[in-house]
Amino acid sequence: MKHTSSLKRVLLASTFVSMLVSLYLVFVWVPVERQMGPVQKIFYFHVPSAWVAFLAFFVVFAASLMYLKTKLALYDIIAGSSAQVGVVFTTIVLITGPIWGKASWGTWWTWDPRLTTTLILWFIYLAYLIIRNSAKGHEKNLRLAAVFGIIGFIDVPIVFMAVRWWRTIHPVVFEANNIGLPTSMLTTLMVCLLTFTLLYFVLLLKSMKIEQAERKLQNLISEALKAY
Amino acid sequence: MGRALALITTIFKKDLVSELRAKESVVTMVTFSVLILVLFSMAFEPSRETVREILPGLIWMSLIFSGILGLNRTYARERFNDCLIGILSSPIAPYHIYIGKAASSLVQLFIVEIITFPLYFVFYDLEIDGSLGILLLTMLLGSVGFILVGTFLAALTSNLRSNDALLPVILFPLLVPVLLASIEATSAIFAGLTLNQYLPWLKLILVYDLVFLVVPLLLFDYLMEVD
Repeated sequence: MKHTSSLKRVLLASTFVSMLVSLYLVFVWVPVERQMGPVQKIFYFHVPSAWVAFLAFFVVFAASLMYLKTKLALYDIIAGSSAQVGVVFTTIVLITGPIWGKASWGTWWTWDPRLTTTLILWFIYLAYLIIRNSAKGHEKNLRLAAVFGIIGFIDVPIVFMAVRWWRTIHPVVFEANNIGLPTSMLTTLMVCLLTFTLLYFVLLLKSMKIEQAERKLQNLISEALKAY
Repeated sequence: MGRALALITTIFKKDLVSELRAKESVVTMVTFSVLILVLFSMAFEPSRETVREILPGLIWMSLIFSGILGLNRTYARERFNDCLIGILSSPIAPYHIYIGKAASSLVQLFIVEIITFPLYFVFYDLEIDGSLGILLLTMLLGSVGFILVGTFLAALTSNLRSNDALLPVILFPLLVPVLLASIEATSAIFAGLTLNQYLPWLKLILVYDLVFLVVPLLLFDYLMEVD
Protein backbone atom coordinates (compact mmCIF):
# COMPACT_ATOMS: atom_id res chain seq x y z
CA MET A 1 0.00 0.00 0.00
CA LYS A 2 2.85 2.35 1.02
CA HIS A 3 4.65 1.39 -2.15
CA THR A 4 1.78 2.26 -4.50
CA SER A 5 1.11 5.62 -2.90
CA SER A 6 4.74 6.68 -3.33
CA LEU A 7 4.52 5.55 -6.94
CA LYS A 8 1.45 7.72 -7.34
CA ARG A 9 3.32 10.65 -5.85
CA VAL A 10 6.13 10.21 -8.36
CA LEU A 11 3.55 10.12 -11.16
CA LEU A 12 1.85 13.24 -9.88
CA ALA A 13 5.15 15.12 -9.47
CA SER A 14 6.42 14.17 -12.91
CA THR A 15 3.11 15.17 -14.49
CA PHE A 16 3.36 18.55 -12.78
CA VAL A 17 6.93 19.17 -13.93
CA SER A 18 6.24 17.91 -17.43
CA MET A 19 3.21 20.15 -17.68
CA LEU A 20 5.20 23.23 -16.67
CA VAL A 21 7.83 22.36 -19.26
CA SER A 22 5.15 21.88 -21.92
CA LEU A 23 3.51 25.20 -21.14
CA TYR A 24 6.89 26.93 -21.38
CA LEU A 25 7.68 25.23 -24.67
CA VAL A 26 4.27 25.95 -26.19
CA PHE A 27 3.85 29.56 -25.16
CA VAL A 28 7.42 30.86 -24.89
CA TRP A 29 9.94 28.70 -26.65
CA VAL A 30 8.42 27.40 -29.86
CA PRO A 31 8.21 29.98 -32.67
CA VAL A 32 4.81 31.22 -33.82
CA GLU A 33 3.71 29.55 -37.05
CA ARG A 34 4.03 32.05 -39.91
CA GLN A 35 0.78 31.45 -41.76
CA MET A 36 -1.69 30.55 -39.06
CA GLY A 37 -0.24 32.62 -36.24
CA PRO A 38 -0.81 31.90 -32.53
CA VAL A 39 -3.92 29.81 -33.21
CA GLN A 40 -1.65 27.03 -34.42
CA LYS A 41 -0.65 26.46 -30.76
CA ILE A 42 -3.98 24.63 -30.33
CA PHE A 43 -2.17 21.86 -32.22
CA TYR A 44 -0.08 21.07 -29.10
CA PHE A 45 -3.23 20.41 -27.10
CA HIS A 46 -5.39 18.98 -29.85
CA VAL A 47 -3.09 16.21 -31.05
CA PRO A 48 -2.12 14.93 -27.56
CA SER A 49 -5.79 14.95 -26.54
CA ALA A 50 -6.63 12.83 -29.56
CA TRP A 51 -3.81 10.45 -28.70
CA VAL A 52 -4.98 10.16 -25.09
CA ALA A 53 -8.56 9.57 -26.23
CA PHE A 54 -7.50 6.67 -28.45
CA LEU A 55 -5.26 5.28 -25.72
CA ALA A 56 -8.12 5.53 -23.22
CA PHE A 57 -10.55 3.71 -25.50
CA PHE A 58 -8.01 1.01 -26.18
CA VAL A 59 -7.69 0.56 -22.42
CA VAL A 60 -11.50 0.28 -22.20
CA PHE A 61 -11.36 -2.45 -24.84
CA ALA A 62 -8.52 -4.37 -23.20
CA ALA A 63 -9.90 -4.01 -19.66
CA SER A 64 -13.39 -5.07 -20.83
CA LEU A 65 -11.92 -8.21 -22.37
CA MET A 66 -10.06 -8.94 -19.15
CA TYR A 67 -13.19 -8.29 -17.10
CA LEU A 68 -15.25 -10.77 -19.10
CA LYS A 69 -12.45 -13.31 -18.80
CA THR A 70 -11.56 -12.95 -15.14
CA LYS A 71 -14.66 -11.28 -13.60
CA LEU A 72 -12.34 -9.24 -11.38
CA ALA A 73 -14.01 -5.98 -10.35
CA LEU A 74 -10.73 -4.12 -10.82
CA TYR A 75 -10.87 -4.51 -14.60
CA ASP A 76 -14.39 -3.19 -14.74
CA ILE A 77 -13.33 -0.16 -12.71
CA ILE A 78 -10.36 0.44 -15.01
CA ALA A 79 -12.60 0.22 -18.09
CA GLY A 80 -15.25 2.55 -16.68
CA SER A 81 -12.74 5.12 -15.45
CA SER A 82 -10.77 5.05 -18.67
CA ALA A 83 -13.95 5.60 -20.69
CA GLN A 84 -14.75 8.67 -18.60
CA VAL A 85 -11.30 10.14 -19.14
CA GLY A 86 -11.46 9.20 -22.82
CA VAL A 87 -14.79 10.97 -23.35
CA VAL A 88 -13.44 14.11 -21.67
CA PHE A 89 -10.42 14.17 -23.97
CA THR A 90 -12.54 13.41 -27.03
CA THR A 91 -14.66 16.40 -26.07
CA ILE A 92 -11.50 18.50 -25.90
CA VAL A 93 -10.52 17.25 -29.37
CA LEU A 94 -13.96 18.09 -30.73
CA ILE A 95 -13.85 21.60 -29.26
CA THR A 96 -10.27 22.50 -30.18
CA GLY A 97 -10.55 20.96 -33.66
CA PRO A 98 -13.24 23.31 -35.00
CA ILE A 99 -11.52 26.36 -33.46
CA TRP A 100 -8.36 25.47 -35.31
CA GLY A 101 -10.30 24.49 -38.43
CA LYS A 102 -12.07 27.84 -38.52
CA ALA A 103 -8.72 29.63 -38.43
CA SER A 104 -6.84 27.49 -40.94
CA TRP A 105 -9.56 26.11 -43.26
CA GLY A 106 -12.08 28.89 -42.79
CA THR A 107 -14.81 26.51 -41.68
CA TRP A 108 -15.84 25.09 -38.32
CA TRP A 109 -16.61 21.61 -39.45
CA THR A 110 -15.79 19.38 -42.39
CA TRP A 111 -16.73 15.72 -42.79
CA ASP A 112 -13.10 14.74 -42.85
CA PRO A 113 -12.52 11.06 -41.97
CA ARG A 114 -10.62 11.80 -38.79
CA LEU A 115 -13.09 14.41 -37.57
CA THR A 116 -16.09 12.27 -38.33
CA THR A 117 -14.59 9.16 -36.78
CA THR A 118 -13.77 11.13 -33.63
CA LEU A 119 -17.34 12.37 -33.43
CA ILE A 120 -18.73 8.86 -33.82
CA LEU A 121 -16.20 7.64 -31.26
CA TRP A 122 -17.54 10.22 -28.85
CA PHE A 123 -21.11 8.97 -29.35
CA ILE A 124 -20.06 5.34 -28.93
CA TYR A 125 -18.33 5.90 -25.62
CA LEU A 126 -21.06 8.21 -24.38
CA ALA A 127 -23.38 5.27 -25.03
CA TYR A 128 -20.95 3.05 -23.13
CA LEU A 129 -21.07 5.38 -20.13
CA ILE A 130 -24.88 5.50 -20.27
CA ILE A 131 -25.02 1.69 -20.22
CA ARG A 132 -22.53 1.50 -17.42
CA ASN A 133 -24.37 4.12 -15.38
CA SER A 134 -27.68 2.33 -15.74
CA ALA A 135 -25.93 -0.83 -14.57
CA LYS A 136 -25.96 0.63 -11.05
CA GLY A 137 -23.20 -1.68 -9.92
CA HIS A 138 -25.08 -4.90 -10.73
CA GLU A 139 -22.49 -7.39 -11.82
CA LYS A 140 -24.54 -8.73 -14.70
CA ASN A 141 -25.16 -5.25 -16.08
CA LEU A 142 -21.49 -4.34 -15.76
CA ARG A 143 -20.81 -7.30 -18.02
CA LEU A 144 -23.18 -5.77 -20.56
CA ALA A 145 -21.15 -2.57 -20.49
CA ALA A 146 -17.98 -4.61 -21.02
CA VAL A 147 -19.52 -6.31 -24.05
CA PHE A 148 -20.41 -2.92 -25.50
CA GLY A 149 -16.92 -1.62 -24.71
CA ILE A 150 -15.54 -4.40 -26.89
CA ILE A 151 -17.85 -4.16 -29.89
CA GLY A 152 -17.67 -0.36 -29.82
CA PHE A 153 -13.93 -0.58 -30.28
CA ILE A 154 -14.24 -3.17 -33.05
CA ASP A 155 -16.61 -0.83 -34.89
CA VAL A 156 -14.18 2.11 -34.93
CA PRO A 157 -11.90 0.96 -37.78
CA ILE A 158 -14.96 0.16 -39.93
CA VAL A 159 -16.32 3.63 -39.26
CA PHE A 160 -12.99 5.14 -40.29
CA MET A 161 -12.85 3.09 -43.49
CA ALA A 162 -16.43 3.97 -44.39
CA VAL A 163 -15.96 7.68 -43.84
CA ARG A 164 -12.69 7.71 -45.75
CA TRP A 165 -14.29 6.14 -48.80
CA TRP A 166 -17.26 8.40 -48.45
CA ARG A 167 -14.97 11.41 -48.61
CA THR A 168 -12.75 10.18 -51.43
CA ILE A 169 -15.69 9.37 -53.66
CA HIS A 170 -16.97 12.87 -53.00
CA PRO A 171 -14.68 15.74 -54.06
CA VAL A 172 -11.92 16.34 -51.55
CA VAL A 173 -12.24 19.88 -50.27
CA PHE A 174 -9.27 19.96 -47.96
CA GLU A 175 -6.05 18.11 -48.68
CA ALA A 176 -4.39 16.71 -45.62
CA ASN A 177 -1.48 19.04 -44.88
CA ASN A 178 1.56 16.87 -45.26
CA ILE A 179 4.01 19.62 -44.42
CA GLY A 180 6.86 18.18 -42.33
CA LEU A 181 7.11 19.79 -38.93
CA PRO A 182 10.21 21.82 -38.03
CA THR A 183 12.24 20.27 -35.22
CA SER A 184 11.24 22.85 -32.60
CA MET A 185 7.57 22.15 -33.17
CA LEU A 186 8.10 18.42 -33.24
CA THR A 187 10.00 18.57 -29.93
CA THR A 188 7.21 20.60 -28.34
CA LEU A 189 4.60 18.17 -29.63
CA MET A 190 6.52 15.20 -28.25
CA VAL A 191 6.82 16.78 -24.81
CA CYS A 192 3.13 17.63 -24.87
CA LEU A 193 2.31 14.04 -25.82
CA LEU A 194 4.29 12.84 -22.82
CA THR A 195 2.53 15.33 -20.53
CA PHE A 196 -0.92 14.34 -21.69
CA THR A 197 -0.11 10.65 -21.35
CA LEU A 198 1.04 11.22 -17.77
CA LEU A 199 -2.07 13.31 -17.15
CA TYR A 200 -4.18 10.45 -18.47
CA PHE A 201 -2.75 8.07 -15.89
CA VAL A 202 -3.21 10.62 -13.09
CA LEU A 203 -6.85 11.13 -14.03
CA LEU A 204 -7.40 7.41 -14.52
CA LEU A 205 -6.10 6.65 -11.03
CA LYS A 206 -8.18 9.45 -9.49
CA SER A 207 -11.30 8.32 -11.27
CA MET A 208 -10.68 4.73 -10.18
CA LYS A 209 -10.22 5.84 -6.60
CA ILE A 210 -13.53 7.71 -6.67
CA GLU A 211 -15.29 4.67 -8.06
CA GLN A 212 -13.74 2.39 -5.46
CA ALA A 213 -14.76 4.79 -2.69
CA GLU A 214 -18.30 4.89 -4.07
CA ARG A 215 -18.52 1.12 -4.06
CA LYS A 216 -17.19 0.96 -0.52
CA LEU A 217 -19.79 3.49 0.55
CA GLN A 218 -22.53 1.52 -1.18
CA ASN A 219 -21.44 -1.63 0.63
CA LEU A 220 -21.37 0.15 3.96
CA ILE A 221 -24.86 1.53 3.38
CA SER A 222 -26.31 -1.82 2.44
CA GLU A 223 -24.61 -3.46 5.45
CA ALA A 224 -25.93 -0.77 7.74
CA LEU A 225 -29.42 -1.23 6.30
CA LYS A 226 -29.19 -4.96 6.88
CA ALA A 227 -28.08 -4.44 10.50
CA TYR A 228 -30.89 -1.98 11.01
CA MET B 1 -23.89 -28.15 -38.35
CA GLY B 2 -27.23 -29.63 -39.35
CA ARG B 3 -28.23 -29.78 -35.71
CA ALA B 4 -27.28 -26.14 -35.13
CA LEU B 5 -29.36 -25.21 -38.14
CA ALA B 6 -32.32 -27.14 -36.76
CA LEU B 7 -32.02 -25.33 -33.40
CA ILE B 8 -31.76 -21.93 -35.09
CA THR B 9 -34.81 -22.75 -37.20
CA THR B 10 -36.72 -23.68 -34.06
CA ILE B 11 -36.16 -20.25 -32.52
CA PHE B 12 -36.76 -18.55 -35.85
CA LYS B 13 -40.08 -20.29 -36.38
CA LYS B 14 -41.20 -19.75 -32.80
CA ASP B 15 -40.53 -16.02 -32.99
CA LEU B 16 -41.98 -15.52 -36.42
CA VAL B 17 -45.13 -17.52 -35.77
CA SER B 18 -45.87 -15.78 -32.49
CA GLU B 19 -45.21 -12.42 -34.13
CA LEU B 20 -47.36 -13.10 -37.17
CA ARG B 21 -50.20 -14.35 -34.97
CA ALA B 22 -50.12 -11.41 -32.59
CA LYS B 23 -48.99 -8.92 -35.27
CA GLU B 24 -47.59 -6.77 -32.48
CA SER B 25 -44.58 -5.29 -34.21
CA VAL B 26 -45.08 -5.73 -37.93
CA VAL B 27 -48.25 -3.67 -38.16
CA THR B 28 -46.71 -0.87 -36.12
CA MET B 29 -43.51 -0.98 -38.14
CA VAL B 30 -45.26 -0.85 -41.49
CA THR B 31 -47.60 1.94 -40.41
CA PHE B 32 -44.73 3.90 -38.96
CA SER B 33 -42.53 3.66 -42.04
CA VAL B 34 -45.42 4.66 -44.33
CA LEU B 35 -46.13 7.57 -42.00
CA ILE B 36 -42.53 8.75 -42.17
CA LEU B 37 -42.66 8.57 -45.94
CA VAL B 38 -45.85 10.65 -46.08
CA LEU B 39 -44.72 13.17 -43.47
CA PHE B 40 -41.39 13.72 -45.19
CA SER B 41 -43.04 14.29 -48.51
CA MET B 42 -45.24 16.91 -46.82
CA ALA B 43 -42.36 18.46 -44.89
CA PHE B 44 -40.01 18.89 -47.84
CA GLU B 45 -42.47 19.29 -50.66
CA PRO B 46 -39.97 17.65 -52.94
CA SER B 47 -39.37 18.87 -56.45
CA ARG B 48 -38.11 16.22 -58.84
CA GLU B 49 -34.41 17.10 -58.71
CA THR B 50 -33.92 17.45 -54.97
CA VAL B 51 -35.84 14.27 -54.26
CA ARG B 52 -33.29 12.14 -56.05
CA GLU B 53 -30.54 13.41 -53.79
CA ILE B 54 -32.26 12.79 -50.48
CA LEU B 55 -34.33 9.74 -51.31
CA PRO B 56 -31.72 7.02 -50.57
CA GLY B 57 -31.05 8.60 -47.18
CA LEU B 58 -34.77 8.88 -46.50
CA ILE B 59 -35.45 5.26 -47.43
CA TRP B 60 -32.72 3.97 -45.13
CA MET B 61 -33.53 6.26 -42.24
CA SER B 62 -37.19 5.29 -42.32
CA LEU B 63 -36.21 1.62 -42.39
CA ILE B 64 -33.96 2.05 -39.41
CA PHE B 65 -36.49 4.02 -37.42
CA SER B 66 -39.22 1.48 -37.98
CA GLY B 67 -36.76 -1.38 -37.50
CA ILE B 68 -35.94 -0.07 -34.04
CA LEU B 69 -39.59 -0.49 -33.04
CA GLY B 70 -39.42 -4.17 -33.89
CA LEU B 71 -36.00 -4.71 -32.33
CA ASN B 72 -37.19 -3.30 -29.02
CA ARG B 73 -39.79 -6.06 -28.91
CA THR B 74 -37.37 -8.88 -29.76
CA TYR B 75 -36.69 -9.91 -26.20
CA ALA B 76 -39.71 -8.31 -24.52
CA ARG B 77 -41.71 -11.39 -25.42
CA GLU B 78 -39.35 -13.59 -23.40
CA ARG B 79 -39.69 -11.56 -20.24
CA PHE B 80 -43.11 -12.98 -19.31
CA ASN B 81 -43.11 -16.17 -17.28
CA ASP B 82 -39.28 -16.29 -17.42
CA CYS B 83 -39.43 -17.63 -20.96
CA LEU B 84 -35.81 -16.74 -21.58
CA ILE B 85 -34.63 -18.94 -18.73
CA GLY B 86 -36.72 -21.71 -20.19
CA ILE B 87 -35.08 -21.35 -23.58
CA LEU B 88 -31.62 -21.08 -22.08
CA SER B 89 -32.08 -24.27 -20.08
CA SER B 90 -33.05 -26.11 -23.24
CA PRO B 91 -30.17 -27.49 -25.36
CA ILE B 92 -30.19 -24.37 -27.54
CA ALA B 93 -26.98 -22.36 -27.34
CA PRO B 94 -27.22 -18.57 -26.85
CA TYR B 95 -25.70 -18.01 -30.29
CA HIS B 96 -28.46 -20.06 -31.88
CA ILE B 97 -31.03 -17.92 -30.09
CA TYR B 98 -29.29 -14.84 -31.44
CA ILE B 99 -29.25 -16.04 -35.05
CA GLY B 100 -32.80 -17.34 -34.84
CA LYS B 101 -34.09 -14.06 -33.49
CA ALA B 102 -32.08 -12.03 -35.98
CA ALA B 103 -33.54 -14.08 -38.84
CA SER B 104 -37.06 -13.54 -37.54
CA SER B 105 -36.48 -9.76 -37.22
CA LEU B 106 -35.00 -9.74 -40.71
CA VAL B 107 -38.13 -11.30 -42.17
CA GLN B 108 -40.23 -8.69 -40.39
CA LEU B 109 -38.07 -5.93 -41.81
CA PHE B 110 -38.44 -7.46 -45.29
CA ILE B 111 -42.21 -7.32 -44.89
CA VAL B 112 -41.88 -3.60 -44.11
CA GLU B 113 -39.61 -3.11 -47.12
CA ILE B 114 -41.88 -4.98 -49.50
CA ILE B 115 -44.91 -2.91 -48.48
CA THR B 116 -43.18 0.45 -48.18
CA PHE B 117 -40.85 0.42 -51.15
CA PRO B 118 -43.51 0.54 -53.91
CA LEU B 119 -45.01 3.56 -52.17
CA TYR B 120 -41.85 5.54 -52.91
CA PHE B 121 -42.67 5.20 -56.60
CA VAL B 122 -46.13 6.60 -55.89
CA PHE B 123 -45.30 9.45 -53.55
CA TYR B 124 -41.89 10.49 -54.84
CA ASP B 125 -42.09 9.47 -58.47
CA LEU B 126 -38.99 7.35 -57.97
CA GLU B 127 -37.06 6.19 -60.99
CA ILE B 128 -34.26 3.68 -60.89
CA ASP B 129 -31.63 3.92 -63.63
CA GLY B 130 -29.49 1.05 -62.33
CA SER B 131 -30.22 -2.62 -61.99
CA LEU B 132 -33.10 -3.59 -59.73
CA GLY B 133 -31.43 -6.87 -58.81
CA ILE B 134 -28.38 -5.17 -57.36
CA LEU B 135 -30.62 -2.70 -55.54
CA LEU B 136 -32.40 -5.61 -53.89
CA LEU B 137 -29.04 -7.16 -53.02
CA THR B 138 -27.96 -3.89 -51.41
CA MET B 139 -31.20 -3.70 -49.45
CA LEU B 140 -30.68 -7.30 -48.34
CA LEU B 141 -27.05 -6.88 -47.23
CA GLY B 142 -27.72 -3.55 -45.54
CA SER B 143 -30.73 -4.90 -43.69
CA VAL B 144 -28.74 -7.93 -42.55
CA GLY B 145 -26.04 -5.69 -41.04
CA PHE B 146 -28.58 -3.49 -39.33
CA ILE B 147 -30.55 -6.42 -37.90
CA LEU B 148 -27.44 -8.31 -36.74
CA VAL B 149 -26.13 -5.40 -34.67
CA GLY B 150 -29.65 -4.42 -33.64
CA THR B 151 -30.56 -7.89 -32.36
CA PHE B 152 -27.28 -8.07 -30.48
CA LEU B 153 -27.74 -4.71 -28.78
CA ALA B 154 -31.44 -5.33 -28.13
CA ALA B 155 -30.35 -8.31 -26.04
CA LEU B 156 -28.04 -5.95 -24.18
CA THR B 157 -30.65 -3.28 -23.49
CA SER B 158 -33.39 -5.77 -22.61
CA ASN B 159 -31.53 -6.28 -19.33
CA LEU B 160 -31.52 -2.62 -18.45
CA ARG B 161 -34.20 -0.25 -17.33
CA SER B 162 -35.29 2.50 -19.75
CA ASN B 163 -34.31 0.06 -22.48
CA ASP B 164 -36.67 1.35 -25.19
CA ALA B 165 -35.09 4.78 -25.22
CA LEU B 166 -31.60 3.38 -24.81
CA LEU B 167 -31.49 1.10 -27.87
CA PRO B 168 -31.35 3.83 -30.56
CA VAL B 169 -28.77 5.78 -28.57
CA ILE B 170 -26.35 2.88 -28.39
CA LEU B 171 -27.24 1.39 -31.78
CA PHE B 172 -27.04 4.37 -34.14
CA PRO B 173 -23.34 5.20 -33.61
CA LEU B 174 -22.41 1.59 -34.40
CA LEU B 175 -24.59 1.62 -37.50
CA VAL B 176 -22.71 4.50 -39.13
CA PRO B 177 -20.61 2.34 -41.49
CA VAL B 178 -23.43 0.16 -42.77
CA LEU B 179 -25.83 3.08 -43.04
CA LEU B 180 -23.33 5.22 -44.91
CA ALA B 181 -22.40 2.39 -47.26
CA SER B 182 -26.01 1.40 -47.94
CA ILE B 183 -27.09 4.97 -48.65
CA GLU B 184 -24.14 5.59 -50.97
CA ALA B 185 -24.66 2.33 -52.84
CA THR B 186 -28.40 2.94 -53.14
CA SER B 187 -27.95 6.43 -54.54
CA ALA B 188 -25.34 5.14 -56.99
CA ILE B 189 -27.81 2.52 -58.21
CA PHE B 190 -30.61 5.07 -58.47
CA ALA B 191 -28.35 7.27 -60.57
CA GLY B 192 -27.37 4.31 -62.75
CA LEU B 193 -23.63 4.39 -62.10
CA THR B 194 -21.55 1.39 -63.16
CA LEU B 195 -20.99 -1.44 -60.75
CA ASN B 196 -17.32 -0.78 -60.01
CA GLN B 197 -18.16 2.76 -58.92
CA TYR B 198 -20.03 1.45 -55.90
CA LEU B 199 -18.60 -2.05 -55.51
CA PRO B 200 -16.41 -0.88 -52.55
CA TRP B 201 -19.60 0.00 -50.67
CA LEU B 202 -21.10 -3.43 -51.20
CA LYS B 203 -17.85 -4.99 -50.02
CA LEU B 204 -17.85 -2.78 -46.95
CA ILE B 205 -21.42 -3.85 -46.08
CA LEU B 206 -20.38 -7.45 -46.55
CA VAL B 207 -17.39 -7.02 -44.22
CA TYR B 208 -19.62 -5.33 -41.65
CA ASP B 209 -22.16 -8.17 -41.88
CA LEU B 210 -19.46 -10.79 -41.41
CA VAL B 211 -17.86 -8.97 -38.46
CA PHE B 212 -21.16 -8.77 -36.62
CA LEU B 213 -22.00 -12.35 -37.50
CA VAL B 214 -18.78 -13.58 -35.92
CA VAL B 215 -18.30 -11.21 -32.96
CA PRO B 216 -21.60 -12.23 -31.27
CA LEU B 217 -20.41 -15.83 -31.51
CA LEU B 218 -17.74 -14.86 -28.98
CA LEU B 219 -19.72 -12.36 -26.91
CA PHE B 220 -23.39 -13.30 -26.98
CA ASP B 221 -23.03 -15.81 -24.13
CA TYR B 222 -22.18 -12.95 -21.80
CA LEU B 223 -25.43 -11.18 -22.63
CA MET B 224 -27.46 -14.26 -21.83
CA GLU B 225 -25.77 -15.20 -18.56
CA VAL B 226 -28.23 -15.43 -15.72
CA ASP B 227 -27.20 -14.86 -12.15
